[in-house]
Amino acid sequence: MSVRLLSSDSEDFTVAKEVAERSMLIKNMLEDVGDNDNPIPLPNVTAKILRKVIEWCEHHLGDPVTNDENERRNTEIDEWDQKFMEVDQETLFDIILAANYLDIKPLLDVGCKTVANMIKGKTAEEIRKIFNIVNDLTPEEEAQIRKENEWAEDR
Amino acid sequence: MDRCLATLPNEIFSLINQHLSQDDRLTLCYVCRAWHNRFLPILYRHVTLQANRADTLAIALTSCNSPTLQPLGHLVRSLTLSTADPICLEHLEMISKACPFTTALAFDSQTFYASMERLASKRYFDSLLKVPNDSPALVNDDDLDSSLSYIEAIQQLKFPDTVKGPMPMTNHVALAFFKVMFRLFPRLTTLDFPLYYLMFGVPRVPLFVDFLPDRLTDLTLKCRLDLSFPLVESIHDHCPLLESLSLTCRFMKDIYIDTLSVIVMNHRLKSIAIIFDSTDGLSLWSWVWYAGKKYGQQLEAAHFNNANLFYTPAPEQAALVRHTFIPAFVQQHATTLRTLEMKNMAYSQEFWMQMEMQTKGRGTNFRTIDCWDDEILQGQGDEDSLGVTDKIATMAKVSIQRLCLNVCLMDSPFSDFARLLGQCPRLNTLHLAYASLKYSSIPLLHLLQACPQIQHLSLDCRTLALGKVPPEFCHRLVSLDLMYTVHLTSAELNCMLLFTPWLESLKITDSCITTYSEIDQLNSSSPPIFRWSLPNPGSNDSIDSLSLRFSPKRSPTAGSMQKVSITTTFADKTWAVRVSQITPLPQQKWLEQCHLGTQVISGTSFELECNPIRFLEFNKTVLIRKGLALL
Repeated sequence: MSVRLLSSDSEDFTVAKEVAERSMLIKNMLEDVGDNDNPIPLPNVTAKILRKVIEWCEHHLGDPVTNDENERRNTEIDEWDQKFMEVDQETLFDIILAANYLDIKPLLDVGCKTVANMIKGKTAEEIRKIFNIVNDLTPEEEAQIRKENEWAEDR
Repeated sequence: MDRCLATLPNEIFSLINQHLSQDDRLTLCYVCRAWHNRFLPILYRHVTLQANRADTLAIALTSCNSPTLQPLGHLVRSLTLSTADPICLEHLEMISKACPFTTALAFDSQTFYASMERLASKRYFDSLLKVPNDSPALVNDDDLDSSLSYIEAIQQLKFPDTVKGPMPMTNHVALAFFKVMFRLFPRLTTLDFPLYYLMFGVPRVPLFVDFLPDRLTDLTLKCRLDLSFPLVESIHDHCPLLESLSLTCRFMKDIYIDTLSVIVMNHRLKSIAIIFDSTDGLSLWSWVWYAGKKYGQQLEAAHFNNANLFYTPAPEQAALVRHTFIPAFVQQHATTLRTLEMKNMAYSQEFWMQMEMQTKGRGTNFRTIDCWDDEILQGQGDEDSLGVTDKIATMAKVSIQRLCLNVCLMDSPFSDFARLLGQCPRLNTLHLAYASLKYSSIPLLHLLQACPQIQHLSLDCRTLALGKVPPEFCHRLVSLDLMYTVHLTSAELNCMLLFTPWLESLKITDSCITTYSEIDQLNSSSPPIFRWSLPNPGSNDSIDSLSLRFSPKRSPTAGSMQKVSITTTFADKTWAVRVSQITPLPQQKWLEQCHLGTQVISGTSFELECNPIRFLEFNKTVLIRKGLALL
């Protein structure tokens, strides 16, 4: 049993039904429209990203589905996922957005954890480097922001 | 780039945000202008007021220069307070009024209690302007004027001429204070609430339950109250929406299940925690019974935590536990519970045996089990504990993710238990305390070999041995905590680190790591050198968090040199921490821990050349944060 998916740039993917059903969006769609041969259009996902998402769904096919928010939040990223997420930032954010749109919660979690790990414990300068951001605040403005929010500093 | 962190939709960023600290969120705000606008509202969503920052927070919350053009206080949804000191009461008033949309409120109970005592002191009362003479003698706690400020509410109370002890006054002050507070935060659903004030034996213990906000869904109560079933029943009556209830208490009525005629079943609560910190643990079992009778199978988490060691109960009590308390809980929750904590509860053999019988053929749903008895740890456990660990691991094999256990093995070798753990496919976090009656040690690498799925391991095991593994062995361990570990040499530690190249966090507390050189240097004047290698290919953050506490084999002398040297395998990452001078503790304590005096930090003797380490803490002193040395 397979399903055809159509990316935003009109590439046609044929995947096993249970793989596609890792996406709650597609699963619900299939339940509504029933089985037929027409491809499901996914106008928010490019072929490049859809290929990655399908790769992830195939690898995690056997995973137990958990609805426990806390549980998912606290699970660490496993080795395969870590490798999977070693992509350029634009792709990483695209995967996160696609996971959100396609409603694949575990993939969304992995993406968000990956981003969080890029921020945790870093200085502003390090974050600028990691995310390739030019600091457009004047030193005075930066000092002002620090002063205003002094209460939040760690010590 | 049109896709970046700052352009992620709110609901996605909030998922990332869950993993960040307040400090991280602040950092995001001064990365650049766009990020400031984007992340400032997020910083203000969850506010933790640290001591001595009340003034700056009050000013920030009332100011209106946020990108959203609403007062920053309106963005606040959860607030954690650590102080209500007389000096910052006015700021607290400002803060309370500035955040009308707060739904969660928490108090740091220890410091808060001290604040309440100060508020209830005669000196504070004297400092207040005297109330008009016609005010009632000692205000009835029930009818405080509904528009009062904190100070006015306290002012309305009259300090009695004769005070027998500070407690009764603290009671009244605390109640007046919290009443005002709950009025100022009308949208509360989550409350973490210290009620240390309502002491046992106070003649007029006010019914605090009545003024709890009734829309609460999460309630954490830390009290010295006499915890009783009627009290919890009345909490449920008053707060019908409760989903999570956590009670920490000092006193507990003796077992008195007979006194409770009717228990109204609750089908809403998902998490119950009873944390108990004195006297006997048997009455805690009556709460296990209560949880079985009171809550339907929607209950997901149950925590029963007895801070003290259990005692040996009388035979008739044992029968009560065996035939009444355990079956009530097991029959209701055995197959549906996801999280179970039982600390110092005794009867574990009996409990898990009934669990096993109940779940036979039906399976369990456990994600987390924390089963722990201090007596076993100290080698005093009786046969009660034997075989329990095997039972637990077998029963929860399919679903278990986090396991905290005492292991007490009499006959079966550790390798059998390790193999059993290896069969838990989702096991991710393991904490083992090992007290072997044979005084053998945990073969660490053996355990890792048997359980490739584990990412977080903490061991409290007195003795640790490496065991033999193939030379190419490699494990994806992410964090390792060693507590109270002795007889581990630094050479062994190095060897273990070689096998765990993905390690991000190594924490060694109250342990004694010996070096070979130590033996040679016992007689020399210079102290031993600890030298660890941290090989971590490909990663620039070798070790994220390292805290060291030394228990030198011999008493350090004042002014002696203690050299710590940690090197990575990369030549360019080599760095050394050298700490000279140890402040010795009083004689009896030096074996426990050796504090590195604060003068070391400010002195010139601490050297950092290059730091792949992001966080380094010597005892409570943070030396490196965010990769920067705080010197």
